[in-house]
Amino acid sequence: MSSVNPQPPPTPAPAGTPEEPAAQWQRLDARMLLLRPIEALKEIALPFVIAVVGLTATSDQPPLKFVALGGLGMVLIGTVPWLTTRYLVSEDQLRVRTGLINKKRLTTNLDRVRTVDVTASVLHRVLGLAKVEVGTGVDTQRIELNALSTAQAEALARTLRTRSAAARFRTDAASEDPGPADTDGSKAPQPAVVPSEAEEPPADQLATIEWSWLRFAPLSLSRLVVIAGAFGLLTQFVTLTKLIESLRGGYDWLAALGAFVAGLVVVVSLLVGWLIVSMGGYVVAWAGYALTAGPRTLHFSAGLMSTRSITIELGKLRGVMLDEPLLLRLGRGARLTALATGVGVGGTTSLLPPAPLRVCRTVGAQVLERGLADSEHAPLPSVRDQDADPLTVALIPHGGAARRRCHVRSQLAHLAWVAVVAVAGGWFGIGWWELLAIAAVLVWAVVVGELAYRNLGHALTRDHVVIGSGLLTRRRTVVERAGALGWVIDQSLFQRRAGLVTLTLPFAAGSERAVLRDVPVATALRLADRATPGLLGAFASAT
Amino acid sequence: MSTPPVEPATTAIDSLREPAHLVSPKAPRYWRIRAAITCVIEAAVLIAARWALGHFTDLPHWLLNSALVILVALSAVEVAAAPQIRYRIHRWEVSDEAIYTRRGWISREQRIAPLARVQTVDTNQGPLMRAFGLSSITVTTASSAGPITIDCLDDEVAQRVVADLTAVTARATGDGT
Repeated sequence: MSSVNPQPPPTPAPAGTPEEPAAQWQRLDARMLLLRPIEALKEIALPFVIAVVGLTATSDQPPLKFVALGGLGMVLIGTVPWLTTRYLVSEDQLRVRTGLINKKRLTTNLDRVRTVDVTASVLHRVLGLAKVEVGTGVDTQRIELNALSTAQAEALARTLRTRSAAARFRTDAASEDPGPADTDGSKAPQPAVVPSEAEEPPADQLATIEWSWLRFAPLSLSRLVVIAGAFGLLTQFVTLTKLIESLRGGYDWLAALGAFVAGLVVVVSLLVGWLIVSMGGYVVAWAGYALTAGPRTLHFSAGLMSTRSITIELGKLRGVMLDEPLLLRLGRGARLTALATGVGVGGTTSLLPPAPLRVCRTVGAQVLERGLADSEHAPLPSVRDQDADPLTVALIPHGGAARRRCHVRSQLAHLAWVAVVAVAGGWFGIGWWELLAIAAVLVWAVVVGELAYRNLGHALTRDHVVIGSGLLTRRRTVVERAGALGWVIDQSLFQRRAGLVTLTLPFAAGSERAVLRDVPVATALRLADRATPGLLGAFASAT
Repeated sequence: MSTPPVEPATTAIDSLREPAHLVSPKAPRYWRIRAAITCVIEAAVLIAARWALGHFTDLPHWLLNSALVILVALSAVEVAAAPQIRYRIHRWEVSDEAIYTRRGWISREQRIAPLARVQTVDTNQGPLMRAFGLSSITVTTASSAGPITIDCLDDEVAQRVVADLTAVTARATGDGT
């Protein structure tokens, strides 16, 4: 078509040739000269201090020399990357050059850019900086620019997102319609609908934080881990004997109050402490939370002191996971997680803070719907009679044999507790309280077994396979039917006698499998056959 | 998104037949010899440990003795009975659309994967397998839960299957996720 292209195609000149327009190559922000040494300091502080103290103790030399040496090292840590790192965004490529001795040149075609994340730690925010991470769909290959000024980072992220969308659009168009324009080696003329940088399409807000959700903070126990960690850190600094001494002081004070009051004081102070810590943690983690949907992406950001900002490409979304831990269920709360390829830690990322079940369901439904609309896969023949919402549809239970197995498994799992009690009984002599403890464990095992059975189940909706699992935490895994990478059907000896199988659905996100336990053979095969039409057809037994 | 076609109103499949092909008839002998070699090595380690412990400590002998007895008993089953049973159970089949395998011994495992989503096709042959002229094929998808292995095919069968699978997967588009 047009032989004169107003915009010459980017010359594939080797990076670093002198003819390149130097103005386009950009540096990291100069403030990183401060940031990197402090970041490095945090990591090596302890060994460094130990080294300095050790050296002062053994030799008579003043530690000043070592401190100066260390300082010089710090400065180098900051300066070298600043001097050597450059990046450039062209119309269809992102290039990064870095390294002093081991020179690295990274070139990524923008149509392969999957995610652009802007994050800022506390330190980054103090200095007005942000880190940009670019993911190309492969987990390990993330390009990191640490650090740019906040404005620069935002602008870069925006440019990358729009240009990568445009580049992908061009690639798609080119692969669908290889026009004659390709013959003269120039690029195909750009269609008018390519999203331009000036007008980024408006993003839809799917959810923002509501402070009434704070009520779920004390009900989610994941923060207990943080407390345990903090306690561990505390013991690093306070010597154990001192801790015990102060505890003993507290114990004496409590003992003076009498058993009942003392118990009350301990319980109340623990509860109040838990309230403060959990709510504080919730605020720090989730302040400023917002989930927005762009044309091809979901964008998540949250955090008071350090912001997490995650972009999920909708085409890479394979499903969601709805978790209802026992405690959260008391307040009718739940957690929602996205299952997407190459995102976050292990392909899962939270979509919502612990929030009301109702909100999790609406947001989840919207996310799933957008994921489908932008799916990489061709639509499958739809299932006839199921037009239900995968997050609310009633699950089909697996029947009596499955229930028996749930109970047996639960009893076996709790046998160890009974053994512990029994051994303690053998040690101290069996008393009435031990029989009581054993009875309590047995009853608890029955409760857990029954919960396991209640949570077990499956459903098939128009576009999703729904798998229910979990003991104390009720979990509903929703996977796009088109995301199924086959089926695994396991049958142990005992399952064979009960006519049950364990059906595993492999897919390419999260834990990469959804496991449906103890489902009757015929039900499992019917589910698999209807979810992935044609896959099992050739292997059906002739009846 | 165009409106997808509606599922035909046939009844869904509720049972599977077994995959069409057996593995190589040489497989049971290979499994038997492999189990025997493993048993000899493990027994040697245990006997050495028994000797060393008896020499340097006064640990009761019955502990290691019973370990040895259990090992020998398990190995006997593994050598005498398991290979024939396993040979009857291990089966495989490749259709136009999917690969289907069954394996196991006491427990059973059936796997089905769509060929359109296969990412890699590997063959594997250890030194002992080479002596027997056997190869195993592993087909992976984008999920770590989905790899499919066909154990112990005759070399020429394995080569043919790999060539077929590679041709099919080369036609597949997308990144297989």
